[in-house]
Amino acid sequence: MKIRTEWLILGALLVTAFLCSAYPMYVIRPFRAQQATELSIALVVKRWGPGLAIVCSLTSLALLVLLWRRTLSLWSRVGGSVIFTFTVLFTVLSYVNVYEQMFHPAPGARFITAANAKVDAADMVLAVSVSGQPRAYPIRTMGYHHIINDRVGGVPIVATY
Amino acid sequence: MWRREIDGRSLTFHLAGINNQNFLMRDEETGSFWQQINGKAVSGPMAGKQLELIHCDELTFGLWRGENPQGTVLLPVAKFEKQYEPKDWERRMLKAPTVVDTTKTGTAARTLMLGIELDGVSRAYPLARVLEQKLVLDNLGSHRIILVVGPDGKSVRAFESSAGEVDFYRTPSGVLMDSATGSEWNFIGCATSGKSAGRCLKPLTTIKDYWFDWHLYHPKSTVYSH
Repeated sequence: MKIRTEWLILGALLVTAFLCSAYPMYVIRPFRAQQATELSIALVVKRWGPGLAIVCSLTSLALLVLLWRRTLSLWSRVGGSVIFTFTVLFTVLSYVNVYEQMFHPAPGARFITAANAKVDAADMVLAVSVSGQPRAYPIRTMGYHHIINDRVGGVPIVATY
Repeated sequence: MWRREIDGRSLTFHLAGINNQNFLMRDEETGSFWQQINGKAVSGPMAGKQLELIHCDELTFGLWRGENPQGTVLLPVAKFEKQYEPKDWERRMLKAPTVVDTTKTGTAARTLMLGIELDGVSRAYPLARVLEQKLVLDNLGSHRIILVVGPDGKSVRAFESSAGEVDFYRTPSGVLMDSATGSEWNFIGCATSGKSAGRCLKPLTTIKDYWFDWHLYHPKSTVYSH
């Protein structure tokens, strides 16, 4: 393999890792209209992107080792290392879902009896009753967590708001 | 509110994205993405699957506690409680920008609606109008719909009535009655006196949503305007 080809491949790996992390972030961002096609592509990238980016990072590492052995040029070594570092950085970013970092689904949600709940009488709640078991989710709590994975009356339900 | 189970398999959801200002959920088990408003999987191995709706009412805590003294309530999560929005959050949200254009529909994008869909026919009932009218009687397709505001003036429940008790009215003291059988009905939708005593109306699930979002998923939906 020619040195030139190695650089091209290193660059392509960097761009791919970048797209794996940046494209879903670009499409799925708040206060932006999502079109059906771009959203479905972004969701596929969100699901497969991290795996693809890992492959990019490993290939990039292999090429860097190769480059390091074949050239004594300091600039080439530094340049290759920088490209590799950014490829790894985008790979890590592709694993991050900003929404999942921002919105906490409240694992291990806890409950209290109606009589002891410190909720104002005029506050709104989402009320369900499953298999005769009534449960209320105060809107104020739901407005923050948005999702509560729960089980009421033996039935797994998800409260969403 | 959804049953988080598909083909006997429980799913655990996370808020994982946004689609035109309605959030997307991701399930841990399969990595699929689901639309919150309609419970449908839009991407991943579960794509096309539909979660089952769990009936849910939006009520004041006081009213709910009165009806369900034995009920249980979600506790705030201590770690995050300080970050919860103040109580006027919803009023402030009314001013937030939207990305869906509803100009052609003649209804403001952030109008809060109670949406009902029955046999593929859908209608949005402006929440403010329902609260003002206290009792809404309407026909949706072949169904007779009743929306009732509770004694607290804030809680709303929706029911479907069958023939026999078509004409409901509110007495000046706020009691729900039907003229056909002369029965009194409570806010749970059950007759407590008269010929129908012991009978209950079929509860309907309304989805509280902004008009732009309801309109996006129910493009043919009409708006209640009486």
